[in-house]
Amino acid sequence: MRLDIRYSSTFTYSEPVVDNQNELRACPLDDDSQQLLDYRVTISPNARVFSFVDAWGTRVDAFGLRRSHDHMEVTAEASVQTQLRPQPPAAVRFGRMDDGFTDAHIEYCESDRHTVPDRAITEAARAQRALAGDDVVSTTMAIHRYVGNHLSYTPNSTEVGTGASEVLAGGVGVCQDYAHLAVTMCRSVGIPARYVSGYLFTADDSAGDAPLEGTVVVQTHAWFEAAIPGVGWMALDPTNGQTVGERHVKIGHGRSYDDVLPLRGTYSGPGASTGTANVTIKRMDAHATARGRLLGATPLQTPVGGPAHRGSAISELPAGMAGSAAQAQQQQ
Amino acid sequence: MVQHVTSTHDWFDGYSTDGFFDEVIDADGKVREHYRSVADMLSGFSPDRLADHERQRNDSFLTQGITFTVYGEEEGTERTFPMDLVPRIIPAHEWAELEAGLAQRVTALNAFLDDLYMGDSGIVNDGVVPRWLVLSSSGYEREAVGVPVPDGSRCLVAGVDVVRDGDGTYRALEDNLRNPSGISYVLENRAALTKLMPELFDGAEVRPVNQYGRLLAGALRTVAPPGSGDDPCVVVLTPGAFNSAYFEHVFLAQQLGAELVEGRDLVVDDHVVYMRTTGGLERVDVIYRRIDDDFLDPVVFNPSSTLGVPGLMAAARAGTVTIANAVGNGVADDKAIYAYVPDMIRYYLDEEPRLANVPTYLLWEPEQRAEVLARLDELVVKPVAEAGGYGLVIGPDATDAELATLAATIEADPRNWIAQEVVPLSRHPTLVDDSLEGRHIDLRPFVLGTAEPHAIPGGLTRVALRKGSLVVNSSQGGGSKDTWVLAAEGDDDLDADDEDEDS
Amino acid sequence: MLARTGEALFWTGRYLERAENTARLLDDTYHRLVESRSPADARAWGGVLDSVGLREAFEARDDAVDPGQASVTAYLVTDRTNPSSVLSAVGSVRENARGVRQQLSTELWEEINDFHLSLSRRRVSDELSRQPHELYAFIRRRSQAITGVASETWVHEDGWRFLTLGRHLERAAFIARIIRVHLCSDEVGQSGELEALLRLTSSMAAHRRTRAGIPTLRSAISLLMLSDTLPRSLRFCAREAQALLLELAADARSAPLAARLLGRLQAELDYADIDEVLGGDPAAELSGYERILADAGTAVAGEFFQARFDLDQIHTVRLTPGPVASPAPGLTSEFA
Repeated sequence: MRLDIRYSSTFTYSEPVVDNQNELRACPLDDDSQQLLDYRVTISPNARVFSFVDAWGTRVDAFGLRRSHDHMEVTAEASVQTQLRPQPPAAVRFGRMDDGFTDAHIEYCESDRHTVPDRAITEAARAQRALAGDDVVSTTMAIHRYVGNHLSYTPNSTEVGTGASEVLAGGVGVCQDYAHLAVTMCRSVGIPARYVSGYLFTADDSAGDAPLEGTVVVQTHAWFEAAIPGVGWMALDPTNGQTVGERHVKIGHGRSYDDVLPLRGTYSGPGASTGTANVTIKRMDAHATARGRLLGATPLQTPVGGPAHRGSAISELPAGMAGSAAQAQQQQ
Repeated sequence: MVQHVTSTHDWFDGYSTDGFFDEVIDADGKVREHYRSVADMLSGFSPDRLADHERQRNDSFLTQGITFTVYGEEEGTERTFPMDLVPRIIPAHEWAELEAGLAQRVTALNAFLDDLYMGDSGIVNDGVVPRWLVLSSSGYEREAVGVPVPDGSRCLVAGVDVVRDGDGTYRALEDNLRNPSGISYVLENRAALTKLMPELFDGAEVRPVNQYGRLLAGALRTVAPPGSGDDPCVVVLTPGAFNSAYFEHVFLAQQLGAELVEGRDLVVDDHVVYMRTTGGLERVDVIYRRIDDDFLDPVVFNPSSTLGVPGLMAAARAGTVTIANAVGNGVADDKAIYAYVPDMIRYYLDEEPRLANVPTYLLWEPEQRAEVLARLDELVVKPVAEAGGYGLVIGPDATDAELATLAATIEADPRNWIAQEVVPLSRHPTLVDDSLEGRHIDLRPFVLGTAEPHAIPGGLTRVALRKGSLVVNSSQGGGSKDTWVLAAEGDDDLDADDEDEDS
Repeated sequence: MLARTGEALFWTGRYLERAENTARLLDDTYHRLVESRSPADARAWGGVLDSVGLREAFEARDDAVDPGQASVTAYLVTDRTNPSSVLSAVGSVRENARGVRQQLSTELWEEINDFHLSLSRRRVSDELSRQPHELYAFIRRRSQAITGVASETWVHEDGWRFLTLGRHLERAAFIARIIRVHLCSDEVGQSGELEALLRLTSSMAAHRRTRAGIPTLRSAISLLMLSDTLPRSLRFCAREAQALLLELAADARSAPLAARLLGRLQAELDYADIDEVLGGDPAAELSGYERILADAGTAVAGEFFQARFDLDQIHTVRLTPGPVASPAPGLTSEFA
């Protein structure tokens, strides 16, 4: 599937700010299941972009606005060709996850602030494993389904920094919470798992308005991948209860959200910031035909505020909570 | 100078080595050859006079503000680091071997870090150092992957703590590759001793240390980004006046003739670092930073840090500025990785280590852990990621309850602890009231880890002032000694700075 | 020179001068009251607060009491919550200097550090309640010693210039204020009060040399405002400060705003006529000078410490709005 993606974040500041330094992770990965055809980043006011690939293999675009400004707009435009991914493999016994396998995936076996397992998570994961039997693939699928069924998609119910245990206890969340919970559960039964940031092309948004000319207004999305011995990474989207396919465009992966967050940065100044981010995706090879209510596509309006005190404030837009002005987009 | 000996005092009356390796007195109870002239001089000093010198030295350090701040005490407690007036002396041949061992060690550590951060991690892929050990080290900094340092001089200033064991063998105890401090005391102790007791230096050919500033400046120039010209702008980055080591930051800036900057003095514009001056922005090429990794850049690290410079890491990655020491060196400080340094030397240099490690047990290995848990009361146990002696447990000194807690801690988290044999640190006669008593010492030499590493002669000798204590850290009640390296026959000492700058 | 360094040295100079001026003022007031057993106690101590520009701050405190010897002295000497009290000011001198000590000559740093250490070793509260003169004299002498050591052991480059600039701006503001406070007081023109003005600016001897006899309003004000040789005259301080600013901006394309402001003030004082001044509204005139001095301070901060590196910000420098208040201590500018 050939997709054109436009990611855009706009910040306005109540008073002029200076020294606004940021890193953007919005570029689709170039790998076996997707090819990056074109990518371009534009910053307004104008700033020089320095691009590099980080330790996780994700492209990063770094830029800064030193001089006084009261708004900032970050736009990333990508063209990408995606393929269907292989079907989930047949059963793989847990015994194949030997020390060598674990060592090779050690980063994806440990916990960070988003993925600390508590007793409830461990028990839930063990129950899924018990149901699935001695099979890494089935266990992963069971965890994937459990997370999708157990959580109820609720915008604004969680924040950046909400841990997996809170998510499980609360039973609500957005896509990054689904991914964190799934990752944490997999790790707690010994399956290496990683968090994935990306885009999801959905031909229908849950507001019910059919897109024109194949263009949809979505948001950045998140899912997870589990390491299967002898096979590789199996990618699942628990928020939408489906395997990851050609509508998913991957940006990058890491231990959790923190390693691949779309935009992070700081600025100086007494002003508060308000930010909105939106993503539009256009299918270029054919009109979008698929229909279905996909939870990941709920457009949101999420004000992102930094503390109003003088000094540094953090401007970060959480994946999956990135708000978009859907109406504004559709009026264009 | 003619020494008028007006009184003689037998400082070694009743002195006992208690079976430890003593730096001054040999196994037969005789003063070692290289200490003879100092021992003779000392006998000319009365206890009152030495006590007087000690007071003068303390007063002068206070007036000059040569102090460190003690955390956890009343706010703003400034203390001087006590200096014992009896110098520690290292003969030329011992130093030559030690320096070669240090240079070899730092070369291998630089190669290791550059392999991890800029190379293809060959040492990990070849199975010499376990991959999981590197990746699970809290010092391994993924944000530093791909951030270059010219010549791979990632440990530009290394402080390798060295001890001598029961038979006098020098051993590396730990590597400090992030922000090793203490060099200012090396220079200040020497300056103080030459002022207070110039007679001691009579007839001894002591290698100077005051060329350090010039050597460090030269080392920093070697890591300037390509294209920064013949006279790169070097700055010293400090967390500010409230940091415990602020005196040293001031001192280093003075020695280097460089600006001492705080994070707020620097700004990044289009991935180039500038300092704010009264005349406008000035470009910066090399940052000798004395701020921990986590505070360097709030975009990348701790977002609430106000000590750092937003955008600094991207600038360093773009190669417009060099951060020294490099970010991410903590992985090689890790006390579990320490155990692999001899293997690194073999792997990268194809040489045998010239400076031995202290025998170390890795607690994630079931057999080693079992042995350690059985012998916990005989060993030293250390957390892998702490410096400054924090969290260390000395088995023979611990209570049964402490050992039980420790055993449980190790069982729960074996990756983050190591155990070592207790090294019976060598002892050195140290002034206690009006006589000398043996006290345990170590040595922190400072190695400039350029393409050809070199150390300034000696280093900081730390002494555990409490009787019987093995802990020498300044934060834990340690003191220091002036450390002399004697010149070899025909040594020209070309590296000396002739002008004695006021300090 | 780092902008932060320049700023720290500028404030070192200001706080040092502030501590000295406060000590001089308290010393003089205390002894005059002892001699005269004046009943006008509260009014005199209120005048002290006016002269240091802190009456509003004093009255705004939670535990505000009427101004009297004990309350005003404590507020101006030992009160740590008052950033302009002598102990706070000397602490700020030391902290500012400590932050940039590598820029100072060794002797200067040791002199400043020792001033702070010696002062903190004294039993200041006891001395104040028994015999404060020795304490005040100590502060004055040590402050002057620091100026001397700075001048004699330190290169007269930008660091020295910022320190000296801070002293002169602070001093000029103090002189303008005490003259204005005198002009507005009920005792205006009384010879005892005029002598006090002269004493606290070390200008009794200078006044005698003018052979004016008993000080009159005209002779005293003329000296304190217009003398071009008295180091504590308004004109002298404005000229020194202006010259320093021009040296500091030697390589700039145009004279800095602060230098232009002070240049105008200086020209006015150069060509002023004392009879014209006294014949008009001298208090209003001085009030205007105080405003210019405050603006100059703001402009120094804006141009040298904050804005040079971001010229688009300098247009947002807001020069003193509204009525003249004492510059908030430690507040270096009034940016939007």
